[in-house]
Amino acid sequence: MRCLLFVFVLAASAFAQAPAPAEAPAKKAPGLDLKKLRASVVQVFVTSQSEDYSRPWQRPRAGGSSGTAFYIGEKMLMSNAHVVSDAKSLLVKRADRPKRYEARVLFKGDDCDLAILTVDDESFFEGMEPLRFGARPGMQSTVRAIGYPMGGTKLSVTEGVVSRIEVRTYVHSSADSHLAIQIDAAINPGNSGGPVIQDGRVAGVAFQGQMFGQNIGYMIPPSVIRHFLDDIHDGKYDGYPEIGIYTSSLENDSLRQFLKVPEGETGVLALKAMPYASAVGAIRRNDVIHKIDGITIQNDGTIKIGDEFFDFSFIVEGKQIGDSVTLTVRRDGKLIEVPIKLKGWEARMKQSIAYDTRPEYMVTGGYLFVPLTTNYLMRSRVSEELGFYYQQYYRTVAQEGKTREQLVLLSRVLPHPSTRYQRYSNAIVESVDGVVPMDFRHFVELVDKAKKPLVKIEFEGVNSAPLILDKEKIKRVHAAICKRFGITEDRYLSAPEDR
Amino acid sequence: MRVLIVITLLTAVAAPRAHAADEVQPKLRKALVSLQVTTQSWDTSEPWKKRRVNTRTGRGVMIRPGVILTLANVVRDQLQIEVSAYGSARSYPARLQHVDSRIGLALVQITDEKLNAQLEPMTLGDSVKLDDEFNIWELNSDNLLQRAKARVVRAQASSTRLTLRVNTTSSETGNGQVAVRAGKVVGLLIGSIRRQEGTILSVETIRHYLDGFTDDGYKELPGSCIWIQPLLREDLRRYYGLTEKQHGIAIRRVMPGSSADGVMQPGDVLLGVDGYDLDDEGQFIHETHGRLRTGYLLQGRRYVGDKVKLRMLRGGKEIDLEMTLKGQSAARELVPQRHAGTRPQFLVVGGLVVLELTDQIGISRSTGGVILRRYSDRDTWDPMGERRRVVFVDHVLRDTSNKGFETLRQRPIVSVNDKPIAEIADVATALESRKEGFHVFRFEGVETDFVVPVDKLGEINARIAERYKVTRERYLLGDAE
Repeated sequence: MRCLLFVFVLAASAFAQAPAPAEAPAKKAPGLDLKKLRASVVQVFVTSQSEDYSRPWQRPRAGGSSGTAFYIGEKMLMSNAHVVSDAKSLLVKRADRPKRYEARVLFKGDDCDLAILTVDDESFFEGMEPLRFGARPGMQSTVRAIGYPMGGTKLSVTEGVVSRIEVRTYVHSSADSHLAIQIDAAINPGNSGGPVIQDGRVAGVAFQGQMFGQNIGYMIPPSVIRHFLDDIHDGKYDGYPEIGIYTSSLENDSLRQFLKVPEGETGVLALKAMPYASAVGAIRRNDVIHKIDGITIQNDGTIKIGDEFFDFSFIVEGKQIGDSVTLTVRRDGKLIEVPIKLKGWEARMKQSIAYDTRPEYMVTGGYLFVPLTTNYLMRSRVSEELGFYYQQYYRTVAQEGKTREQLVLLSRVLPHPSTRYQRYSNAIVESVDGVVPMDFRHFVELVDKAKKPLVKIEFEGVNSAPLILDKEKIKRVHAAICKRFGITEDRYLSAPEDR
Repeated sequence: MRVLIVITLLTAVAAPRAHAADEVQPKLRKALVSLQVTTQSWDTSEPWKKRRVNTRTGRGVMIRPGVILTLANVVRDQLQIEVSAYGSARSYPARLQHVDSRIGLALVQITDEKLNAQLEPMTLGDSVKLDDEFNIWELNSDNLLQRAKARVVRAQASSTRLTLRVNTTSSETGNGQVAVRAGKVVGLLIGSIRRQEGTILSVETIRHYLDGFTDDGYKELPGSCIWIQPLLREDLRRYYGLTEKQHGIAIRRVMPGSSADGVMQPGDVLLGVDGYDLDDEGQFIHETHGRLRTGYLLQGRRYVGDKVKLRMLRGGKEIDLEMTLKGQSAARELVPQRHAGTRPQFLVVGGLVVLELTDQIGISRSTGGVILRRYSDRDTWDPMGERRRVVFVDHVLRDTSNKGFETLRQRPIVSVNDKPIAEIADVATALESRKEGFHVFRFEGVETDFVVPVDKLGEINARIAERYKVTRERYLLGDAE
């Protein structure tokens, strides 16, 4: 499913441009003040560099793309996080001015795909009027998407109706789901970050489409935008809180009897708190969560809001980190209230696709070691097995709380006479001289500080041979191997506070 | 008088070319047979069922009066065996006398006296070596003799048998065609032929199999006992402390309960077996066949109960040890090989189809499958605990009582009624131990417990059995077949 989704950021310059027709006398569309929009909806030109996870020492080639942003007042422009991620240079241009201005990112929320930019040159904002946010548009109501999509260079307006409102994955980070509104207005690469207008107010931000669908575009609804703006009020973006409970439906009658759920009472079965999540310590296996903040949970885990059913965890979408939520739980046959103080979910951040970070790695004597991350899985060719393993690790192993924070991989072996007979690729490190590395930094430390001349690295699975790092020999060949493969830096570890 | 002379002359002329064939053909006509085997195998996923009936043709050779030697694959899953001989389409009943799937050989007894009277056994010949030429004979579909030529290009050994790769003019898939040299049996053709290269099961292995039948019963091959690590790399050799002159393989792990348990230790280096020196890849030089794998010394040419002499490097010192060989079943294997024809164990409880993981189980891509695969990838090793086997729910037969569990696929069972499950029989014991309340199944990974009321289980099982035509609810070792 995830691969079907396609985030619309493409280099607008990559498309041939048709000669612009002579402008017809402007007929003002009802509800749209085009003069105002030409000033307030700007095009964003991005030069970005995406990291090469299979050759992490190389600086990858820069690529160009473009998107849209709009003025929300106080010298702030709103756009999508994916428009400005991994950017090395950002330029913005008003439709009513020829000049491109340098911009910079003030705030970015990868999980909700929103970002705030500013321009230091104040002349940029002259005569700009901020767009105001409106309410969530209803089903079937008409909206207009404004932006700079492919197919031309000028401001574009497309119209459509709201076709669906539901919680879905935001593909930019691919780790979290929020409410999204599906519209049938044409949304194309370059539209990203542009406002979707209804009754003269911003009803959403265009952000993603569907690769194999037609007339399917998605926008971020006002509730998510408001959450983002509230979050950054304190000067930094913290993200969404998460209750973090593995649950299961309670449709089975025997199970309900076994758990002493009275006839007619509904709820969802709690299995386990997710690792490092808010619910750790508050929830036990076989708790039946009957209510959340007083709202009854159905046997399939949904709650009714308005006319629609949403997963019960949707309640926290409206909350910030530090807020509380109260669960009414049937435990051992008794109903109890369980208050939970909400925190951000670190494990989710680890599973999400990371941006604006450099890959960590270490090359020693021709052996390339990396931490196993989602970025690594996505950007280098690795087996499906390993992907499964990664998920499994987070779902079952990590939460026991007794094991590793991060898995370390021997990514591959660079061919050299000293690395003969080596057929490892993407082998998961089990131990270094018998010690299990807790994360990549720990692994590097174990290798660096090993006192013995021969360091034994064991891998997962009984059939894979250990690797013996001969420190003396590595010292002799290391420089030559680095030179052969053009490795200018033999390692990169991010500073601990960045992690 | 004149007629006689002509015949004599003709014979004299033809003799030099046809000599060998003339001598052997009458023997082959009396020893080669063709086997028609009716087969039916168990359904591994719904083991109360059998798959559809098939027939298979194979070849064999009489090796003792009334006894045919053939391949284990020919008689796999057999319901009925019929044998026909040279020159006649008529087939006679026969019965399986013995099969050893690890060696890949079987004995079939002809029960019809009339056919027995027509046939005569052939004897086993000497080893064939690299570049030796011989013929591969079979009874073809018309039950006439058919011959192909073969020449040995390479010898190879697995841990359980010695085989010869041959260059051959045959294009038949090996199913027991007989390799004959100097009028004696020197092997059986196994496997497929690709680019004119096929494989012969050696006469050494055939002889070893037949010699296993003694007055005290059949002597099995020893089981596997160690995981080894080749020491080709200089860094590994240094790590294991080998000197320039020492060569061998490192012991990675010793299978608990196996021959090597208590004799070898992880970290040891095996330098030699029974006077043969090993090289860094774990091969030794066989006097006839050259480089072969060490496993052959410990299993393929040995019987359970034999003693082997080991030379080991332990803690920098060379030591000599003696190891008594044990059978395959002695070792604690988490994921065993299920030999064809043996009935899989299973239980159907509340619609859960409970099985034991073997090498025959196809593993799905479900979350449970991922966990199962980790067990099978780890090659019979339970990293977590004290399991003897991996017991799992293969799938669920849908019923109102198991609503919400329809999608459960290949999920390992951790406990039933709080009793840890080490093998499938434990599930039955745990179920019997609870007389009231609920039976509780706990699975590996984040998964809901499955519960079923004790007093309703019989009723539920009966309903499911009726709806899905489950003809029996369990088969555990010791149950009537």
